[in-house]
Amino acid sequence: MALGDRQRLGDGYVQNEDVNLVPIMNLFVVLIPFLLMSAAFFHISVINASVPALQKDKTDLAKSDVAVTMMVRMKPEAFTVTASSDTLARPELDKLRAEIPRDGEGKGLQAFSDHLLACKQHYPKSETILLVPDASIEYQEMIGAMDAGRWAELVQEGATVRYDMFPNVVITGML
Amino acid sequence: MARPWRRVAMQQKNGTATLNITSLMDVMTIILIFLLFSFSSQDQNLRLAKDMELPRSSSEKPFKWAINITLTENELMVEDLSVCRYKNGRFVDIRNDPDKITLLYKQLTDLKSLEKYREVDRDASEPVVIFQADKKHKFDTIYKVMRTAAMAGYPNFRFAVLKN
Repeated sequence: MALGDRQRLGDGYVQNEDVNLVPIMNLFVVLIPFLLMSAAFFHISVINASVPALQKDKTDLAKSDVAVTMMVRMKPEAFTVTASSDTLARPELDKLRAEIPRDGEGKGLQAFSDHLLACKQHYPKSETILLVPDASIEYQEMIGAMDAGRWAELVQEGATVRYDMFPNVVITGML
Repeated sequence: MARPWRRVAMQQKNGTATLNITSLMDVMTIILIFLLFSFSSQDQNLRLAKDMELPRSSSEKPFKWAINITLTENELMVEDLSVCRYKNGRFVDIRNDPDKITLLYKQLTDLKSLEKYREVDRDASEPVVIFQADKKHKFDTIYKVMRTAAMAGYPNFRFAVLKN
């Protein structure tokens, strides 16, 4: 601590002291370059996905009597949504079928998400979506479709909550 | 910091001047706090290739290390090791196999045989790869890499994305 200037005031001495900030400055000067080097200016997250694989006792088809597996054919002009299940009858599954054009703002992602939400609410135990993009679909578009299928925003009691729809994404191509 | 006028006058009289570093300290403190926050919440030390832009996503799953496959605009890499070039929409491979990328398959099967994935992701029940790819790649390119990895014994992926 540096000695401050002394000033006479009345009958005593009052000492004005400045805090010596130089050691703290030294510390900051060392810390800041170190933190700058190790700082992350972008944040990376991940999306889990898989490709179809032959595995014993495992299937991508829903086993539960109330669960369906959604299959989404992603073409440049539209999403074609169909459903499959080893227990539901064809007329039931046909009700979940939809052709959603990929045009306008957001390229139909909102309508696509809304349709999947309706399917999920109808069969809440469903968790798997099979995504089949066309060869010409860009990676960013595919990620966008995966986002739209994984969760939706719902307003419950005035608050917006994230509702998980189909967290298991299986990606495959057309044979 | 406001300086008492008497002291300033005394310094002027004595011909000495002190540097006021308080405002500099304020700036430094703000920078330090910002950097400390970004340090504590940062992802693992992931090196992004210069010629690659990850897709953006709303996913909030944290990044977790696994075997890393990177597909930049013109190169395919496994763990920073170049596997083959990607040129004019095609992989420059030793064999023109329509089903898989032979060089990538060999690299991954070597890794699998060494069971290196156990060292980087011991908790995983099945081997997983982190897949980083440029957002402009077409699906047929992406799928060829994924299919090759699946054939080599890595059917599960974590797509690395930038948080929205």
